[in-house]
Parts: sequence; C-alpha cells; structure tokens
Amino acid sequence: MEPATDDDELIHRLHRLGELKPAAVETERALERVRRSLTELSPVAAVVVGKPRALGWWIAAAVCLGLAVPLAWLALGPSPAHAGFDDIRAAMQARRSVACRQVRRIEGRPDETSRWLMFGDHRFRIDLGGGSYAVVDGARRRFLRVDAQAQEATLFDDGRPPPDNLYEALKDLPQGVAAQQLPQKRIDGRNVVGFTVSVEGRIATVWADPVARLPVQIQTDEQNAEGQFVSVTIDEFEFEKKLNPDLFSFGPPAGFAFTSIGLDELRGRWERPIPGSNPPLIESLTVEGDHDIYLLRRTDGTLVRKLSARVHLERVGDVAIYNRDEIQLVEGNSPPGGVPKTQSFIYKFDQKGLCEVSGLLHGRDSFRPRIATIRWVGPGKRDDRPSADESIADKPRAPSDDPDLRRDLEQMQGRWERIGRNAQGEVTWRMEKLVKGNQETRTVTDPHGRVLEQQTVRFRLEKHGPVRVFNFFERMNDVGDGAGLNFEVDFSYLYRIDGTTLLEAPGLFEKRPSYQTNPVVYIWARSEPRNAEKTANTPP
Amino acid sequence: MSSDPQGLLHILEFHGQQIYALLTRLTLRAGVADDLLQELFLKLHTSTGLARAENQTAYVFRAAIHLAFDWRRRRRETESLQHEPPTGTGSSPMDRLIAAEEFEQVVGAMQDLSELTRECLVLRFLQQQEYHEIAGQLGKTEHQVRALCHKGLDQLRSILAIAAGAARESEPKGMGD
Repeated sequence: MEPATDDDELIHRLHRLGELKPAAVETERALERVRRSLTELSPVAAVVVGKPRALGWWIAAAVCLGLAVPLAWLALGPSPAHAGFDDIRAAMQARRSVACRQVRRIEGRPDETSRWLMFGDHRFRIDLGGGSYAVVDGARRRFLRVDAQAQEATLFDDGRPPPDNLYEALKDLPQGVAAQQLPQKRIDGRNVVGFTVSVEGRIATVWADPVARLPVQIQTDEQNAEGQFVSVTIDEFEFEKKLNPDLFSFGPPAGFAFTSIGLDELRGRWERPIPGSNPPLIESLTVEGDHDIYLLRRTDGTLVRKLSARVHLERVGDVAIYNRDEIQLVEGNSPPGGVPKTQSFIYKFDQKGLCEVSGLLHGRDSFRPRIATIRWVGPGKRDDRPSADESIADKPRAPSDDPDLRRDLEQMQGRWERIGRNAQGEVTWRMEKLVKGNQETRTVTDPHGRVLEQQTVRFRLEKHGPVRVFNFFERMNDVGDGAGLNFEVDFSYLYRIDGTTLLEAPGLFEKRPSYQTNPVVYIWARSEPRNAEKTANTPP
Repeated sequence: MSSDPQGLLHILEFHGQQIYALLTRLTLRAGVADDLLQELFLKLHTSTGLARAENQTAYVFRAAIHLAFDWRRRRRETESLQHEPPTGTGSSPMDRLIAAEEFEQVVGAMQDLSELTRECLVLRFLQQQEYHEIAGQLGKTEHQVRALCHKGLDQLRSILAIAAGAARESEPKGMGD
C-alpha cells in the first residue's frame, strides 16, 4: 500500500480518520466502566451527578458486587479485602533490600530509565546506564555521583538534597496515613489492589499484590513548571535480593578524577582575633571529618575553652548553613549560660576568607549571643570545587500565605531608618524606608534633609525553613540617577524582623542575585510615623 | 490536590464520548481505548494537574492524546505482545482492513513528531477544531498553530515517504533475484 504522497491525500486521510467513530455500544460500555470506577471512589457522587440510568446501574452494581466480592475473595486467597495501604507500607518496611526499575517520562524527551538498588538503611544506588551511577546515603544526606563517560566522581556532602527516592518516601510514611483505595485492576495478568496516597507534596498511585502485599507498580503524574507532563513509574520489583555491599561504596572507582563538595571545603583550621577583647583573645575552629573543635585562648596561649561538636551542613533557600550538635565541653570553662545543645550560622566564602553570619536564622540557636558578621582566616576556599548544578534555588513561583510571612509583612509596615555618621559622630546621611503593603520606598537624604535619591520597589517575602528572604522587583527611580525610569530588577536579601529592629543581609546567597556580593548585615530601626500618618491611623 | 470524582463525572458525561472517540482514533483499537479511558480518569483523579489547569477540558483532551501516544510508544517496545487488530471503516472486511492499515501508518508516523506539533494535528484534523480554538487551548497564537500544522503535515509526509521506501526495499524479490 502506498502512503500519502501529497498534502491533499494526507489531509484527506486525516479527515477520514477524524470521522472514525466507535460503535455506540462500545462507547457506552467504556463510559459505564469509568463511571463505575469513579463512583467507587465516591459513591455519593453517582447519585448527585449521574444521569437517571446511574441509579439503575447502582442497584445492578450492588447486586454484582454482592456476588463478585465473595468470588474475588475466594479467588485471591488470604484476606485481600483487608490489604489496606498500611499493610502494604508495613510489608515494604519488613523487606530489607529492594531492586526495581524507574522510568521517568517527560513529553517531548526520551524516556529516562534507571535501575535502583536499595539496601534498606536509606542507602541506595541508582544505575543510570552506560556505567554511570549514584550512591546515596539518605540518612546523612550525602551522595556520590559517578560519570563513567567523563571518568569523574563527585561526592556531595554539603547538605544539598539527594535525589528523590519515591519508594523510600512511601515506605517511611507514618502508620495510618490517609490513602484512598482504587478499583482493582490487572497488571501483567495478575490482580492488583490500588491506593492513592500523598507523599512529599505529590500524589502517588501504588498498585500492590493483594497476597504478598508488596508493590507491583508505583506511579506519579505531575506537570512541571513548563507545563509538561512528567510521569514516574517504578516497577519490576525484586524483594530481598542479595546485594553486594561494595555497590554502595562512597569510594570513587579506580582511576577516576575525584572531587568532594561539602565539609571538605571547610576542612582545616580557621582562626580570628576577637576585636576589643581584654585580655586579647583568639578563637579557632578546626573542621575534620564530620566534627569540629572550637578553641578559645588568650594570645599567650592560655586555653579558655575547648568545645567539640558534630557538624551538619545544610543548604536551604540558596543559603549555606553550618549546624553544630552533640556539643561537648572538652576542656576549660563552660561558656556563659552553659554548653548549648545546638548552634547554627550562615556561612559563605568571600574574597577575604570564610564569613560567618549569626543571628539571622529563625528557630535556631545562634553561634553568638548577638547578631554578628565574622570573618575567619584559614585555608581558604578550594578553587577546584565545581559549581552546584541546582537551578537558582528554591524561589517559589506563587506568593505564600504562610502565617509567619503574614506576620513579618504586618510588622514591616511603616517607616524604618538608618543613619550614617562620621568618626566624630556627626550625621552624614540618613536613609529611610517606608513600607506600604508590598511596596517599599527608600529615600536617602543629606544631613540637611535634602533628598538625594528615592526609589520605589515592589517586593514579596519568602520562607525557606529557618531562612527568610526579601525579594524585590519593578524598581522606579523617583529622585536621583535615572529619575522617572522603571527598571526590571530581581534582587533578594535575607531579613529578620522583631518589631523594632529589621535586619537586612545581602550577599549571602550562593547563586541568587543580591544587590551586594559580599555578606553584610544592615540594621534598621523603627522610626516614628509622621504627623499625617499618625492622624490617618487615628480612629475617628 | 487530586480532582474529586464528582467533577470527573461531569467531565465524563459532557466529554466522555468525544474523548473515547479520540482514543479510538489514536489507538485504532476499541479495547485499548476502553482501557485508556479508564486509566485517563484514574490519572486525572490522582494527579494535581487538572485542578490547577486554567482550561480543564483542554487539559483532559491533551492528557488523552499524551496517554494514547504513550501507549503507542510502549507498544512499539513490546510489539509482539499486541494481538487486537486495528479498527478501520468501510463496507467490506477488505475495505476496513485497508482503511485500518492506512490509519495505522498515519497515526504511527505521528509518533515521530514533537508533542506540540502532534497535538496541533490531532486537534485540527482528528478533532476538527478551528485554529483559534486550538490556539486558546495550547496557549499559542492562531498564526503559530497554523504554522505548526503546516510544518507537521510536511514532516508527516516525509516520514510516510521514508517508511514507504523502506517497505519497498524489504519486499521479497522475485524468483532468481
């Protein structure tokens, strides 16, 4: 048979295909089957929505179910009707090792197929094909990526999220988690029971063997930010497969170039004199393995305090966080207020060394008793560290209605002030910001009150765990350079607000654009509202 | 969150026949279309996409097209497992077989088009929608949709011509060749 050779023939053929109609009886049978499935998911809906025939079907279905359920029970064996999602989850937890296949489909792209081996203690290996693989320790949030083609191995130990493991996430769901049962179906010739369950912000469909109570197929379907359909299917399960522990080694293959990202970049001794201390003090932080040693001593070498701690790095909201726990006093005096249980600070490498910023994180104990921007001098940042391959981190696409952010926004409303002074304490400039809703106007004046610059921006607030971000855009220059012009900007900084003080900290992101490169913390104080504002705010 | 069954029943009542017909045209197998229709609605129930979609009807039809071509892709990988013969139209069994084979060639060739081009062709020629309707559904301009359809037809013609050439080369030669 010859195919179409010109457009007319092709279009004609397409039109004829468009005229192809299934038989009415087949259509009705197919629709009825879906109706039945949907009404099983929500029996009330059948009465509310269905056409009059749905009631008749409902009676017929009830009769059929009356016969079908006992028959299915006999056919399937031990209590399949009782195989709820909790049973599936419990059976998954009882199995130590699992091997399976994962296929990720994105429309318009070739399928990505990988083989997964799970060792049962949150360690797993993903074989990506062509000899490339990843080994993940989910509990310690570290992973090794091996690129066979480039002959490179990279160990990520800097707290960035390891690859998602949908199977483990399902297995770790709490007992009694809400799951919706689906109508039974057949996969590869065997009956399976199905459930939908919410896991880590996605909805997963789990099809399981009703007797073994173990998954046969797991699936998620989502649309990504570009509106493409993304489906992930996990199948070809093998449980309790004997796995060679060497497959889960974090050592790089022989002959491969090896890079370690994370604690490795902090490894070594960092030191700084404490300005203004009397007697003069020097503090040092030595990072080795996953622990550190903090030393406080006098310049004559007398030890004041020695603390040890376990270090856990974290990367959230495009900000690197240094967390210490299991803190112990090894030698010397206990710090004022006793030995803290945990301490956290934001860190960033800059041209001068390692910068520590304390006092900006929400819900974390600071490393310092007050807000501090501290520079440590030490081994410096490794230049061979490859850049992180994440997209610009974590910027939410939609405005948040988080109660913390609502409270922050309320507290931000009104006037804030910073004043610049010279060495003699004389005022050299004043900067004021006026926040109204999600708009901020920043005005710089000279000591005589003349306006030098004025800019207005729109902004939104973001929350990423303990990190709060002020993201501003659409800048209008009212006075000064470029007055009357609008600028498309997208800058962010970290903030923290406590009602009377507003901290503004640009320059702390790894990749996200900020209006300053190096870390700094500006402190804004609440200023008095103007008379007109007082009047406006006074109830009649 | 997932779509509620009541909303899906509404979609089924209003658009179910068209969706089933579309699935039949794209799979050319009534039994497969039957399975895919159920799978489509289960997916719509469990995924969050429908609830977020601005045009829910367009979303459902696009999801159906995606599902049908996904089935074709899987089928191509496991060709030997398929037994149900394709469905055609025509008065005699031979006519139906010829029509089915023609359709199979066209729909099979569509697999090699980009997702967007394929959607444009399906909505235009198989669903017989107007260009401006398709443009609204796909978030494109009418001009872009026309261009995509034109390009798609060109590509389809090339694919079919190549397939025909390959088929001629693989035909058994005469005695003594």
